[in-house]
Amino acid sequence: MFARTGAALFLPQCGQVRNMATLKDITIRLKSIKNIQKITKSMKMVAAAKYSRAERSLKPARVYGTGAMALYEKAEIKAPEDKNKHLIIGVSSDRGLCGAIHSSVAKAMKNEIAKLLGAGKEVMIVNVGDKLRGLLYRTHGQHILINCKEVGRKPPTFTDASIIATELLDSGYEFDQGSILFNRFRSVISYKTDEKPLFSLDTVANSENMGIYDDIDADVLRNYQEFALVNIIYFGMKESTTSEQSARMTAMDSASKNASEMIDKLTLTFNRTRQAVITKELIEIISGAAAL
Amino acid sequence: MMAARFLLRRAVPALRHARCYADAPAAQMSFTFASPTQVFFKEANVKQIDVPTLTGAFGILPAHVPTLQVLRPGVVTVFNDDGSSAKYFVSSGSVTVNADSSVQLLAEEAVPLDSLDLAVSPCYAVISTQRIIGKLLQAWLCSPLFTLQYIPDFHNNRTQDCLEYNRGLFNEVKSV
Repeated sequence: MFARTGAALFLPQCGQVRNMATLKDITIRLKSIKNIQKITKSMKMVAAAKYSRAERSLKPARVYGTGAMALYEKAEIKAPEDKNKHLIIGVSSDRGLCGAIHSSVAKAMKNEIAKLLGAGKEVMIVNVGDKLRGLLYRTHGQHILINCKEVGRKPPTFTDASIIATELLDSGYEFDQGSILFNRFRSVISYKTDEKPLFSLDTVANSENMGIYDDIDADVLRNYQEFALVNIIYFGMKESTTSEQSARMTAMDSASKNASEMIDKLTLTFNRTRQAVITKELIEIISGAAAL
Repeated sequence: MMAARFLLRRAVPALRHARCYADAPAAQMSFTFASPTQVFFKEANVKQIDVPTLTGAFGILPAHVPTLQVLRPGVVTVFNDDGSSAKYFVSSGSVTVNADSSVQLLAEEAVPLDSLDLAVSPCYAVISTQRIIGKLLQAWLCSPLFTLQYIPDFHNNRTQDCLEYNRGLFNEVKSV
């Protein structure tokens, strides 16, 4: 008997029965969406302020970064193909709600790792930013060398980049070549995931064009390489923050627009429901009066 | 046609590397001088640059032999084409002279010398007004990566030595 009453209770609710939303439900929904719209609007303004500051400091950082990579481009240093130890530095940040920033870097890193492992090389990755760790630790946890947190809260400085480089050099992983993956800032509405190469001391020292550079001993070259590593990381971090703030701005902007659309639709539904409720009550009163 | 173009392109770099004494030096130097937060010169055309490096101070003119050097704390002097000169104090960094006579001077921190207040007491002058030596100290205390390699005198962990070095450096800066 117990089971039968239980089954009888369940029956009316299964199937495609949808109750019409009551006025109360719509009111609650409308209020919550309006609150969310306020939050996304304020997040957009904060992101816009941070973006303008980041873009202003990106200009000298770009000159600095291109100057740092000038040697490798002009001397046309290329890593030899047979080297085995690779390093991938992925630059992103800790905070979400910025569109496809983190997932695009993570996707590029995964592709690189798959390609290198397929070619039989050994790969380790450095994650700058907690989001990357979250995206990568499940599938590529054994390749993670260093994780960096507290990235993205404040604008990146040269000191931050030097801390990352110090950790990397102290970790003892002697990579032969590597690359740094970051989101290069193109404009307010667009960014592109870009890759810049990193070379090890041996690659640079044994490169054929290094012969034209005069009066270089191993010590000077090592200092120079370490400084160049910090410069490239700094450049990647600067570009990455600017892209992230601009992406967050556009994401929050489209979220606010979606919220306004939903508010308009819900307001119409609310008015229609209200009028239907009033009409139903009137009919009930009239038919009740007629029954008397 | 394609072969001729290919040959021409291969021939040019060879011509550039072979230098005879009779060749006039290239008149243009593309000079880029920047710190992470500020750009002082971007692909500018200057006459000469004096840089302090770990292996000694030297001057760079157009068509200097290609080299890579690491800077030590000191004063960089840039001589413009019109004869005027500008001095900057740099904490550390690197300088690259390429074969096409382009020079990239990347300094970790650089300030124009006239913005330093040297009238105040020596050690604190540079520490307080621009915090450059202070930054060096701090960097040295937390991570000896750059400073230890760039300042050969710091082989023992003594702050007093650091301040003595700063005093010497301050005198050098003041005398320039």
